[in-house]
Amino acid sequence: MRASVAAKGGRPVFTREHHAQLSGFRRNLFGYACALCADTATAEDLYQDTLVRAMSARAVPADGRAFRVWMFRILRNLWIDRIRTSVREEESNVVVDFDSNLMMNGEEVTINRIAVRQAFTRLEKHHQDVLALVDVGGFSYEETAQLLDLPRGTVMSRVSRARAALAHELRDERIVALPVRRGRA
Amino acid sequence: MNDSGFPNAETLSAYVDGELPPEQAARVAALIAEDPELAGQVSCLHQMKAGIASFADVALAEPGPPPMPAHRNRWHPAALGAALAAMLALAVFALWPVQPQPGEQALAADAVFVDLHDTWSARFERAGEAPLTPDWLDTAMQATGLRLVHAGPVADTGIHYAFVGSNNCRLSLFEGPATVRGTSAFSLTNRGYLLNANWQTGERSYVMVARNMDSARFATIAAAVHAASLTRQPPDADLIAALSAARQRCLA
Repeated sequence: MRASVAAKGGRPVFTREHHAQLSGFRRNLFGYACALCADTATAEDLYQDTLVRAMSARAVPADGRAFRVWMFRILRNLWIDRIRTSVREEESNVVVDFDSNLMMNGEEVTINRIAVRQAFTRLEKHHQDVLALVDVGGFSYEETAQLLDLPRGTVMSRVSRARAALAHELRDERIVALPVRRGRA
Repeated sequence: MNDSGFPNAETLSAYVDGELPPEQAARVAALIAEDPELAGQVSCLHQMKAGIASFADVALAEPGPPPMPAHRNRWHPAALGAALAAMLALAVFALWPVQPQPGEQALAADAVFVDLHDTWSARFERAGEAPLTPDWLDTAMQATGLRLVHAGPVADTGIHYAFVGSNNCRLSLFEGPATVRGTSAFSLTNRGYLLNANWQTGERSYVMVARNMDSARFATIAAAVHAASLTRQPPDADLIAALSAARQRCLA
C-alpha cells in the first residue's frame, strides 16, 4: 500500500478519500485553530490557509492517522509562522502543588467551560499548543510527540504542567468559581 | 506516582487522558475510589479537559467548513481571553453562526434599532424611577450589572428596553413580533464600536444594540438574554457566573 498519494504529472493530489477523512476531524482541526488564535476570524484564516496548503501539496499521506497528523502539523506550522516565535517550554524546577491549585479550600468546585477557555487564553503558547493537540485534536501522547518532534515522556510532563498552569489561572480572582454542587463526583 | 505510591499531578493528568498502562490505571482508579479528595482533583482535571475540548464544539455549530474569506465571520472579540468568553458553551449557545454573518441587507434592517438606541442614548442623562424588568430578563441583567432605565413602546407592537451600567455602558434590547426576514439563528455582528445581535424565538424577535462595550461582554450578555428569551426562565448558573466575570468598563 502506498504511504502517500503523490502528484501526477506535477499536479498536486488531494483525493476524495482525503476530503472524506477530513470531514471526520474537521471540527477538531478548526477547534485547534480556534484554541490557538486570538479570534474566530484569524482561526478561519488559518484553517483556510491550512486547507490550501494541504490541497497544494505534492504528496499527501494515504493512511488516515498519518493524514490527520499531517493536517494538524500543517496548521501548527502555519500558526508558528504567524506568531513568529519559537514555541519553547520554560523549564521549571518548582514542584507543582496540585492540591492547592485545584482544590479551593479543600472543597470540590465546579469549573464552567467558559472560565476554562478564558483561562486557557492566558497560558503560554507552548502550553496552549500541547493541550489543544491532546484535548481538542484528540491526539494521544504518542501522536502529539510525533507532531511536536518530542519524546513521549516530554509530552506527558508538558501536558501536566500545562494543566497545572491552567488550574493556577482558574484560581485568578477574575475567574468566578461556581459554588459547590453537592452530589457531583 | 511519588515515593509513597500516591499519584502525583503528572500521573493523574495521564490517567485522565487514558495514557497510563492498564495496571497503573487500575491502581490509580482504586485509589480514587477510596479518596474523595483525590476524586475531586481528577474531577477538576476532567472538567478542564472538557472545557478545552469544547473549542471543537463551539467552533463549528453547523456542518460545512468555515466561510471563505469573502464571507468570513466578522466577529472580532477584543482579546483572546475576551474572545473565548464570547464562545459560549454549546448547551447555551448552540446557534453560534459560523455561517456568513448577516450581510449589508440584514445590518441595514437593524439600522432603525441602532438609530433608536443612539437617540435614547444621546438624550439619556439620569435615570429616574426605574421601570420593572420583566421576570425572564431580570436575573440575567442583574448579573451583568446593567440596570433597566427605560422601557417604552416601539412602533405599535415592540418594546425598547434600555440599560445603563455603573461605568456608563449603555445597551438596548428591542423586542417585537417575529419578522418574515428574521432567522431563528442567533447572529452577532461587530462593526468597530457598534455591536449588534439579533434572533427570533417563535413569535418574537429581538435586536440588541450597544456601542463602546467590550465585545466579549456584549456577546455574553446577548447569549444570556437569548437563552432567557427561549425559555422565559433565568439562565443557568454557568452563564450567570460568566456574566459576572465578563463585567468590564465600557470603551471610551
